Amino acid sequence: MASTDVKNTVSHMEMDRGGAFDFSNCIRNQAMCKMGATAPTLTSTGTTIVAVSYKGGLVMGADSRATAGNIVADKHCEKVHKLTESIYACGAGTAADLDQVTKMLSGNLRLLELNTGRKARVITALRQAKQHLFNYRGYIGAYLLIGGVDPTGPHLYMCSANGTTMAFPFTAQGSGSYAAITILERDFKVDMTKEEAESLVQRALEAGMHGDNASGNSLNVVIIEPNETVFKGPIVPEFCKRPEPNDLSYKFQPGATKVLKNKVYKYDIVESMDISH
Amino acid sequence: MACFNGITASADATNQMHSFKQAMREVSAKPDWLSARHIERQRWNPYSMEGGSTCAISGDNFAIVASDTRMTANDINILTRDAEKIQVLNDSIILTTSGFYGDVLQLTKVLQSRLHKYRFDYRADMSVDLCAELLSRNLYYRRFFPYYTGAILAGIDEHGKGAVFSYDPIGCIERLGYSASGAAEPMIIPFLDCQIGHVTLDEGYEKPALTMERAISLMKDSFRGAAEREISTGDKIHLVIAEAGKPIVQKFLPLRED
Amino acid sequence: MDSHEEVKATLNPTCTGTSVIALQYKTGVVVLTDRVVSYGKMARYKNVSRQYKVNENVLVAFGGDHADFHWLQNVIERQVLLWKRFDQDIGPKALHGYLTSLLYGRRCQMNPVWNTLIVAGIEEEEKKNKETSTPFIGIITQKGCAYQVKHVATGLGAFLLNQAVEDEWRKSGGELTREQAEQVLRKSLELSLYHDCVADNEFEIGRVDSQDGVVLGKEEKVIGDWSIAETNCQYE
Repeated sequence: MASTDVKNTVSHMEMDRGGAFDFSNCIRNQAMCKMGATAPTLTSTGTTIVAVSYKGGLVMGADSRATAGNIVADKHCEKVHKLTESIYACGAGTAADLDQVTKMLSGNLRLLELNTGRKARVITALRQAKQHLFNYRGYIGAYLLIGGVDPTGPHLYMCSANGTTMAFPFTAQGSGSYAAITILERDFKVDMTKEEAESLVQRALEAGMHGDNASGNSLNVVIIEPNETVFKGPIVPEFCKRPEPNDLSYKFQPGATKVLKNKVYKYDIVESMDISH
Repeated sequence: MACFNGITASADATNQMHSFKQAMREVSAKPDWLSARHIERQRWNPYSMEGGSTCAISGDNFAIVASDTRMTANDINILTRDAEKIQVLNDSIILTTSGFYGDVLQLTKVLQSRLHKYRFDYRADMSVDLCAELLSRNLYYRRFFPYYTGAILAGIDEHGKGAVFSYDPIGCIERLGYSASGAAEPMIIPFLDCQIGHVTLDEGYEKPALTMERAISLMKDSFRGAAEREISTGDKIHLVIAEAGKPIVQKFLPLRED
Repeated sequence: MDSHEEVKATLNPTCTGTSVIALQYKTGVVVLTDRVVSYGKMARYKNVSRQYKVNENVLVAFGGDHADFHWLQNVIERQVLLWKRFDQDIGPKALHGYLTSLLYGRRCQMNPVWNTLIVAGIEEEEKKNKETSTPFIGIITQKGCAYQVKHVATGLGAFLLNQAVEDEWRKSGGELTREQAEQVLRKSLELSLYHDCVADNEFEIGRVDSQDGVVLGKEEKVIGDWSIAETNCQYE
């Protein structure tokens, strides 16, 4: 009786979505949490990412700190992702989601460029990102700034995890965006020079990294123009440097660590291989 | 006997399976992703966490206390870079607390006034051992609405030896050689276990003596290390040094600010 | 805790004010608040001040619930009168300490005063001695978390403006003139206007100076720069 019930239920459920994500463990995991298990934490990039358009080009930048709770998980995390030669994406949110989404985007855009023989447009990258993210109803925690230069000029878009997109002349995202956007609002001018835009992005990032715990370490900047893309970084601002070195050095003598347990495994050599070269 | 064990084991397994099934039913009926949006009403939380870390080390004739000076709201937003978490209560007692800053202030205020009264009543300063007991009782007094703090009391005791007392939020007291509390506690404690407790060092290897200079250096390095990897620790080290027979010295040292 | 208890405490503020920005300059403190009362996101009442002159040396500004502050105003006044009975003027440090205990006490009763308070003033070491008096800014949050600073922005301003104000402060080495300090505040309000939907462009700057004592500000307006709107094209 019970087994037929189970069979019925399973035959009606369509868990398999043909190579997409598998949700079949969601309910089980929640039940386990309810029984006292703790779910693993995701590495979330509490981040400052900033982008500014200027006359004929675009500057994008990000800090390099990835956090897991209150711990710095990665000091040199790369948050400026290359999509094509002249389209880049900066990401805030869940690190793994960002990596996968940007990987997917760059692959698709490259295919498109090969198929059409032209440079991909920024709007294409944006539409692909938003459709993908909208399909997953915000469960893919990727908050993106997608920007670049294509034959129609420089473009900058924000795409949030639930698929909302907007166009901006300048914007910031992530936990440090509040401090950063204030600097952008204060100093942004229409049709700036490349140098002005670059310094503005750097200052906005520094404000985010300084005022926000979850941002810091170093910053990366990419300057996109129709003919060339320049990547700069990592740049370490003054306040991100250690003001003083350690007092002591911590070297352990070989063998100084206490041996707690000794166990000897005996084995026979079944097959050997020469790995000397 | 073995048979008996087998029965309990299978009964446990059945119970576990039963409660798991129950949990499955409950979750399927009301999964997180539905309830999160609908449960709007949230009880007001009287606590908040302002981050930061503190640490204390005691030696033969000294006690060293340090904390960072950053104060944070909502884990990420920096409120001020010069908040003080260390209070010098008298010539031989230093209190350092991290956690909810409102409770930190209140606890300091309570202890200060109790010490003040003690001075009037007994015409002498309280000793660190007495104060340690007093703090424990004050913490336990709020057993069911606890001070959300990790307190450490340090100083020079009546015999001229360094003392560190460590507390949990509701007043469990323990006299230790060294202690840490706050956000970077899980990073500082293992470091001091290794460097002062020598818990990993095999017999026959030299254990460097804990001089005051070494203790100060270890203290600085533990905060430098914590500032590297813990996001709510930074800005400045507030270092307080108490040595038997000498006045208490306070220092501020820079830390990274990001 | 799923029971529906009768609500007896301010757990949902009704008429609220948003950010307060305060900054020390050489000889005093300037405090900026906007003049709108929000009812949720609606700009319900205009031309309402959020600064209260306690005496010649102390000014209290607040963010959060207006009704709770009206009650507090009364409490403060009584405290001032109490001090008067002993021929004393309450100083900012003392008032800051008093209000800290008050707010902390109310949070312990699970009945918080829904305000963030900024106590600004001149702390006099000796009475009427300008040489030894120092500017003072003290903050108290709703939960009784109190600290002293040289510069501050509260509410959404804590996220948006703290770092920008701090950078200005550091650039000057902590020695701003009054004009510079007010300029920083005006710009700060303009910036909070762009991102805080309950901030208003009508504001006042109060100041406490070691020479002039408390001077409440007049209503001012900032328009801001909205020319960026013309470049905004949501083409897809």
